[in-house]
Amino acid sequence: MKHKSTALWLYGSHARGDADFQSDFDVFAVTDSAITNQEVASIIRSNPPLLKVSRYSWSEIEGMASYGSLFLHHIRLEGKCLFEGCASAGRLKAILDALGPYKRAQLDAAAFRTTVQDVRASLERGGSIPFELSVLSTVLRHSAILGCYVSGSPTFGRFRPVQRIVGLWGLDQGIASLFADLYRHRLWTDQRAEEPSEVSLDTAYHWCDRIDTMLEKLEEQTNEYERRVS
Amino acid sequence: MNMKEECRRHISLVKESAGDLAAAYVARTRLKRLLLACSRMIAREYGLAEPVLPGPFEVPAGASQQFHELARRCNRLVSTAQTLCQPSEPLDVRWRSEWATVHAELEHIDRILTSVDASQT
Repeated sequence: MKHKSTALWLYGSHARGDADFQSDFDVFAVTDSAITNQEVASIIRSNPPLLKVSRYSWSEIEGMASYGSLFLHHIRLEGKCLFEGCASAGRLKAILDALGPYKRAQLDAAAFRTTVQDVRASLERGGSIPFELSVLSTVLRHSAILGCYVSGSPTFGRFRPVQRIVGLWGLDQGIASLFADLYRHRLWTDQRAEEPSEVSLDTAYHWCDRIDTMLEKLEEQTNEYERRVS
Repeated sequence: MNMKEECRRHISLVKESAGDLAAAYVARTRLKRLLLACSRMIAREYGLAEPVLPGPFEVPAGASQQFHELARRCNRLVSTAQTLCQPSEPLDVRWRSEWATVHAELEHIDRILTSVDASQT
């Protein structure tokens, strides 16, 4: 059997039960053999329209587990097993159960900061505003996910991490209330939403400023977190 | 700076970030920005609407061989970038293993850009 060492887990909004019409059907596939979306659909006996398969080898998963991968924490918190081949039964769950704290929080925070600097530089040089807004929406969401984690309230999803971190850290409420508009750019780049109408340069710079403010707090919190877990 | 030099600047930025494990997150965005810059350069050259998002693109039938080759290599990188840019941090591990492929493509693209006639772009 080709997929005896394959594990397929559902994660994301469908696993949480808060999917909407724009939601991907996110499947986490761990396998040492190639697997197509069609094969995944056949194994799970379902062919959702927005099936999105993230593929990893077992060695990649073990490497990720060694630094307490935040993505694996996400799977541990919300994932649901859809299929396990006979040679992989219980293997992923054992890895997830033994998962240690995330060890790359400061590195991630630094990468988010550089990415926002890149966005500013691109905007100054006439780069694509819609693309840069999409990048900003991703950075903001990822920063919020990391912020929730280092604050001891791991939260995943499209909007909830941003809403939670704004509340936890007492940030500008505008970040939470306007984030859905910003995230439409990200959905558009994935062809999951109509093209947003507002793409002004001022809007992009305002988001850079808001995210920079949030990143200051994130850096402070990740420093504290790394002192605690080291 | 003209479009050709802008594309070459993006190549340098991708290379710069690729040497740092922590910067895989940064590198993938820079890679997409490079692909977008190349497609915009070609679109501008042929008077087409400039794309605002990175993605596969086609050059007009009458375009030069250099631009056809540039588009072909960029489109291949778009495909590689999709594998590299799965929604999580393990892309740093993958980035290291795939970097040789990406680097070789970047070198090719840089050579094509260098050879593009100075009167173009």
